[in-house]
Amino acid sequence: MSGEIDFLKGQQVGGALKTKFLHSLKVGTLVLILAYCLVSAAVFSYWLFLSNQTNKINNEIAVKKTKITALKDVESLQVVLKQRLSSLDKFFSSKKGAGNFNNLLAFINQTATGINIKELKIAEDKMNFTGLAPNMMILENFLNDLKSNESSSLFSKITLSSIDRQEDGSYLFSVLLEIKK
Amino acid sequence: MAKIDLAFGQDKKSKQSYLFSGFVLILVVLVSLFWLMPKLMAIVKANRDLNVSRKTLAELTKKVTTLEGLSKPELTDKVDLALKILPLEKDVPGALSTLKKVALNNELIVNEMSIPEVGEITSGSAETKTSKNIKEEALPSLSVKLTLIGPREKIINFFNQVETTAPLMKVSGLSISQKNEGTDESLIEVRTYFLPLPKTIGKLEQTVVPVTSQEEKIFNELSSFKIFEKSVFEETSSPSAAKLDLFGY
Repeated sequence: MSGEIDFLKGQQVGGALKTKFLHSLKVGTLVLILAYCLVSAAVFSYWLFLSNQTNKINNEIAVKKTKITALKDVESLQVVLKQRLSSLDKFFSSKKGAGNFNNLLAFINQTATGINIKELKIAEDKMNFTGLAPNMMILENFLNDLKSNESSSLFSKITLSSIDRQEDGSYLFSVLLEIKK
Repeated sequence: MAKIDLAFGQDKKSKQSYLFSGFVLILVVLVSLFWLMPKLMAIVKANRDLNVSRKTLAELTKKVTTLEGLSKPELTDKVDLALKILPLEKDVPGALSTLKKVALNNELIVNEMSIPEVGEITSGSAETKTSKNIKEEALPSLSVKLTLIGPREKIINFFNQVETTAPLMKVSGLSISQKNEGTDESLIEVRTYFLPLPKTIGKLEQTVVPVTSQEEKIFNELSSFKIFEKSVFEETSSPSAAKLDLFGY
C-alpha cells in the first residue's frame, strides 16, 4: 500500500525542471563570459592595431615634416614665383584687350596717312585726335577708315567733334573716339 | 528527515547558480561601462584621427615629391628675373632711371619727370594698398609722369619699349602734340608695378601649387624683357632670390 502512493513525485518533477533551468543558466553564463571575453579581446586588439597605425603614421608625418623643413628654401622660391606669375598672367590678359595703347597708336599711325597729327590724347577709355588734312579727299579716306571693321573692334563710338577749313584749303578736324574695354 | 536535507542541498545549489549568474552579469555590465565603452569611443576617435593623419601624410608626401622635383638653382634664376620685373616694393629710383634710359636709347629729350604720389616706400604700405587695388587692377602700382620731346616715331617706339622693360610698366595715359615740324612733345603717364610677398607662406600643411603651362608662357614673355643694369645708387633694399627666406620673414 505504501509503495503505491508516491508523495515525492511532484517534488521530483519540479526538481528536474529546476535542475535543467540551472544547468542552462550555468551554460548560458559561461557562453556569455566566453563571448564577452572574445569581444573584449577583439576590441582590445583593434585598439592596439589603431594605436600602432597612428604611431606609425605620426612618425612618417614627422619624417615628411623634417624633409619639408629642409626644403623650405625651394618652397619659398616656388611660392614667390607662383605668386608673381599668376599676378602677371592676370595683368597681361587684361592688357591684351582693345584698350592697349600700342594697338591704338598702331591703328592711328596706319589710318592717318597723309594727315598731320596735331594732337593725340589717350586717357582711360577716351581718345582725342586733332589733325590737319591737306584736302577733303584725304580727310574722307581717313574718316572712312575709321568706320572699318578693324576700327569697330577697337572703338565703341566715334564722334567727329569739329571740322574747320583753313585759309590754305586744308582741314583742321577733331575726332573723339571711345575705346572699347 | 532525509527529505528535508535533500531540499536544503538543492536550494543551496540553485542559490549559488543564481548568485554566479548575477555576479557575471553585474561584472559584464560594469566592465562594459568602465572599460569597453570608453575603449570603443577611443577606437572611434582614433579611427577618425587616423583618417585625418592618413590624409595629412598623403598631402605631405605629395608636397615632398613636388619639392624634391624642383631644381633650386633653376628656381633661383627664375625668381631673380621675376623680382627684377615685378619688385617687392615701390622701386622709385629704378623706375625713374629705366624711363630715362629708354628715352635716351630712343634719342628723346626728357623734359620733366614727376611722381605725383609716392607714399610710403616700404612693403608694409604696399601690402595695405594691394588689397584695395586687387579689385581694380590686380597689381599695386606707382604713377610716374614725364614729358618727352622728339620725333613721333621715336615716341611711339618709347611706348613699345617701356612696356617690355623691367620693372614692369604700362603707359596709362598720353598726350602727343606737335611742337615743331618733325618734333612732337608728349606728356606720358606710366604706371610701374610692384607686388609684396604673400602674407601666408611657409605653412607645413600648405600645398605647393605648381606653375601652370599658361604661367610658363608668361615666364617666357618675361625672359624677353630688357633689363638695365642698376648703378650703385639705384640699388634698393629688395632682397634677391638667393637671400629670400620667407619662413623667417
